[in-house]
Amino acid sequence: MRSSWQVAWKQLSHSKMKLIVATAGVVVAVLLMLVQLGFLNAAYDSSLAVPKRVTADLVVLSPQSPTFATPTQFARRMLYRLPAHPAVADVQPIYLGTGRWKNPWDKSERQILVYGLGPGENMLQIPGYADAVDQLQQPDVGLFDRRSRPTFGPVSEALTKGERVDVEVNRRKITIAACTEIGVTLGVDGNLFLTDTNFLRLFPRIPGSIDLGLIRLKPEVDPATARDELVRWCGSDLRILTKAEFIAFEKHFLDTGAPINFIFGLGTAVGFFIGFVIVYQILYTEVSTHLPQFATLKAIGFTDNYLLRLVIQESLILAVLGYLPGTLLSWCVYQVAAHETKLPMALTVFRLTSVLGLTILMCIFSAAMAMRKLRAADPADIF
Amino acid sequence: MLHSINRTAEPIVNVEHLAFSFGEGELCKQILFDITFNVFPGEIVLLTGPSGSGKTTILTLVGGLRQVKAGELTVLGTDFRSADVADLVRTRRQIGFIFQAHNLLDFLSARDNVAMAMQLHPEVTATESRERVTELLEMVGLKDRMDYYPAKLSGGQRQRVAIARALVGRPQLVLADEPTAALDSHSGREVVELLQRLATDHGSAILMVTHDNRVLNVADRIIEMEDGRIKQPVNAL
Ligand SMILES: Nc1ncnc2c1ncn2[C@@H]1O[C@H](COP(=O)(O)OP(=O)(O)O)[C@@H](O)[C@H]1O
Ligand SMILES: [Mg+2]
Repeated sequence: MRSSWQVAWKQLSHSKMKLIVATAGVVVAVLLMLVQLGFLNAAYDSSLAVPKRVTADLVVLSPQSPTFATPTQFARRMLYRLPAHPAVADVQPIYLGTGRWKNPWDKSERQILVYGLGPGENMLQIPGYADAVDQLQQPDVGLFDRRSRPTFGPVSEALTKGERVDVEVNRRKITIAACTEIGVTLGVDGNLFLTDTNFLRLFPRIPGSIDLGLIRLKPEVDPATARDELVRWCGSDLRILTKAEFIAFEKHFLDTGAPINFIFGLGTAVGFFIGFVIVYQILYTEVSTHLPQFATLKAIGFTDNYLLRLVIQESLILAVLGYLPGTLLSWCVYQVAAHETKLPMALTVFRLTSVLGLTILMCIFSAAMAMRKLRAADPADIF
Repeated sequence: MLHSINRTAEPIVNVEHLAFSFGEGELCKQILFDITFNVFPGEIVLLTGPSGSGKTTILTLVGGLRQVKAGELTVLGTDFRSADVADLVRTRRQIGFIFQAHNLLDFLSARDNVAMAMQLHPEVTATESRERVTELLEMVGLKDRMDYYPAKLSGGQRQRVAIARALVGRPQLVLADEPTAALDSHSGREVVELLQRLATDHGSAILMVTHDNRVLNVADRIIEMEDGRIKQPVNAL
């Protein structure tokens, strides 16, 4: 009994029921915050996965495209004009379209994002594409993303068993030659990669319009300088970005153009609030039912600060007690969610520490509110 | 007298022409009028008088729990008229308070309730403070109840824990407000004898409010109050 920590612990643990309820409140808060932030991060990580696979020096988009995933088309000839510039070594047009995939096993139809990759150096890093390129040059052959949601059918398993996989995309038979690993996002359930020729057979469109252009610069050309010159060349018809700018552009779209920040941010805030209310309720009851005793402590020479410290220490004990099982539970939820949604769910050290910080903040907040009641403890009134 | 009182020493409590009123302006009601008395080291002084005569108010003033407005009050060498909050808290740590309501912390055992008060005396080593806690609980007759929670103790036993808590810091002054009121006559008598013994052993002065005629004989002096004034000459004994 030499320290206020011991007093704080004894007060908290005196009623086991109260301790359990308060801890459960913190567990729920930690769980909600970690899971919501986990989904938020997964949404970002997954949406940025493809932009991060771009190996080109510069990326070309229509100025009307809010994100590469929902592109506005632009004329291919504008891209093909660029190699005339001395800094440009090569360009690659990319086509994007949402196709209807008919699962050959259960005949259900799903939307799948289809990429058409133009000829020349492949500046979108798709594992396995180069190995399968001879097959992919054949008519109506595609490369399937095995990390697509399971609703597309056991494509990868069938291929491993040596079976032939023919599916229907936009009512046209496509043979899957091999699988790659890319990953899905909140909005995209699966990916299919084709050559541009095969793509255009599936998606009839205004001839010569493309969705994305990739540029390889000559060695020793500074991308930012080249970007400036090309922008001056093309005027406002094209948006030309360096690789880093392209990722920042996509991130900015997620920050502002999509409601994920709001949705998952709200979920996190709700978790924080639930924890706050429960911890506050418990601490407030503890303080108000012990007012005469606390007033007595003040009378015999304990300071206001001592009592404030006591309540804060109780809240910190709750923070730690709830944090540990909360993280453990969240880890389980992450495993299940990663399996079910195929989204990248990783419990990073950064997130663990942020949520620990939030939990401590939440508990101290509750304590601060509960402590206002302490002022009512007047030592003169207890005689 | 069983124990020695040094009336030539500095008084532990010096009250001169103390007046006190509750409320402000129109609602101002004067409760204490021209109170003057001393308490010397080792002395047991009883405050008696009818209910509402101002006894508790005197204790709260002497205990530094209320601000002095008029008159002089010096307790343990601290002039309460000019004392700030920190001075008051420091002085209160040298006073043992025994309240009518024991106000023990229900989540601490008897031992921990007493031990907690030792947090106010960090200069005492952990070992010594543990020894003192045990010693005092034995002295108040709770040797085999030390690890009981207040809920499992009788009223008298709780009051004795409160006494142990008040005395564990070896205060030079004990302020007690009707410590026997909640007790049956037997335990009431025991508690008062205990206080008397502690005053003798440690030389603490005791200022005790009581209505209980059965305990009047332990007093060195009795101050009788009526309507906020001292009725009887102070040096009656
Ligand atoms: N906080 C207070 N506010 C206003 N009046 C009070 C307060 N406390 C006590 N009084 C009044 O002061 C008078 C003396 O009270 P008190 O000192 O408690 O007397 P005693 O302890 O002798 O019964 C009573 O008339 C009481 O009503
Ligand atoms: Mg009274």
